[in-house]
Amino acid sequence: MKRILALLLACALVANMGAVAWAEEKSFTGNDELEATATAEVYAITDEPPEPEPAYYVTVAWESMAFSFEGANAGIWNAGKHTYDGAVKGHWTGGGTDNNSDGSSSSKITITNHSNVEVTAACAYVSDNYKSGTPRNGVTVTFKGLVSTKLQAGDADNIAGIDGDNQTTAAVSVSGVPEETVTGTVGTVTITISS
Amino acid sequence: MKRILALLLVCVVLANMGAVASAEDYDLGGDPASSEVTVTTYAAKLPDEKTYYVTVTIPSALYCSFTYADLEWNPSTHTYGDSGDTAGTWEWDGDAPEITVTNYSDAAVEVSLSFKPVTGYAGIDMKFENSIDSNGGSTTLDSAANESNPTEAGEATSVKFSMEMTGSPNVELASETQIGTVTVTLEGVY
Repeated sequence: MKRILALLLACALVANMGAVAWAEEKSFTGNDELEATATAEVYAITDEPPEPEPAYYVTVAWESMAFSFEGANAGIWNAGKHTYDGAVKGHWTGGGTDNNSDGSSSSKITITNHSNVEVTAACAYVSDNYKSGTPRNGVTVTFKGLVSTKLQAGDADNIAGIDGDNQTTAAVSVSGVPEETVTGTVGTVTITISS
Repeated sequence: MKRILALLLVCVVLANMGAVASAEDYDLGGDPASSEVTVTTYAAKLPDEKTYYVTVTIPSALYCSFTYADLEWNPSTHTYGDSGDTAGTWEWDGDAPEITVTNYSDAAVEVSLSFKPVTGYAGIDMKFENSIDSNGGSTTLDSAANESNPTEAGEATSVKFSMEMTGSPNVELASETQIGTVTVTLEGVY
């Protein structure tokens, strides 16, 4: 009976030891030269990596959406040359990129996904009076943007998201020469973000 | 017969001379009350060939565990956690392991430690510190010889290395899995 108890006790001790490492001394000798290596393997055990919860953080950066038209300025008559000095063509201002060479002005909307999961961004422009690309009273409002696009999770190597697959842009531009003075809203841009 | 006896006598005389230097008088001339004494010293001659004997006390294997931290997503950096946060914490199974290298050679020995992760665990690394200098996993052990007085005993030189796991496995290791190998490299300096 004592032997059985002793055996059981030994088994219990061995079971509790787990993986035991003991230090061992290794000797290396050489005459006039020595090049030697000693190695030890490294073992690890881990718990389960935590499942990350979706964390949403999306930025929408708007450039100015208030546009105004500056009419042409004939300048000052130069009697010597029979021309106007300092003449300026009519052009739109107020957007993010004033004074486009064609006299239009445009503004950009930048949507960047900084979340740890993918999101969908939808861009829409709505107007009863100034439909995108359709001139009215000499003015054309143009909206460019993807109706719906998937934005990947934020990339640690591209925080700003420039040219990254976690960013998209849309743009509104106004061009033409207004036939009458109008103040008010020409349309509405809506950005929708969904998981 | 006389010739043989004379030869034997010469041999006996030569044999009795041994290593005893015979004193001889020279007439140097000049002042007999003073003479110059010249002493020439030679550095102790060390053997040209070095003898290396180095011992490495190293664990048969190293066991550790990794506990993942529950980090929050940081939208400013697109990473989990803040600057300085780690993906989790490493812990040795039992006392922190050490590797001791002792040099009994009559020449210096360069010692360097390195860690190579097993394929698939490239995110894991190991940091070393040694008891001699701040060079981490590499140092030089001086010769054990008493070079200024080679006939006197020298002293073995020794270094202890401590190890710290860094990085993250990025997966679950449900059972003890080999994640890498520590290698101690010894190179004689001569």
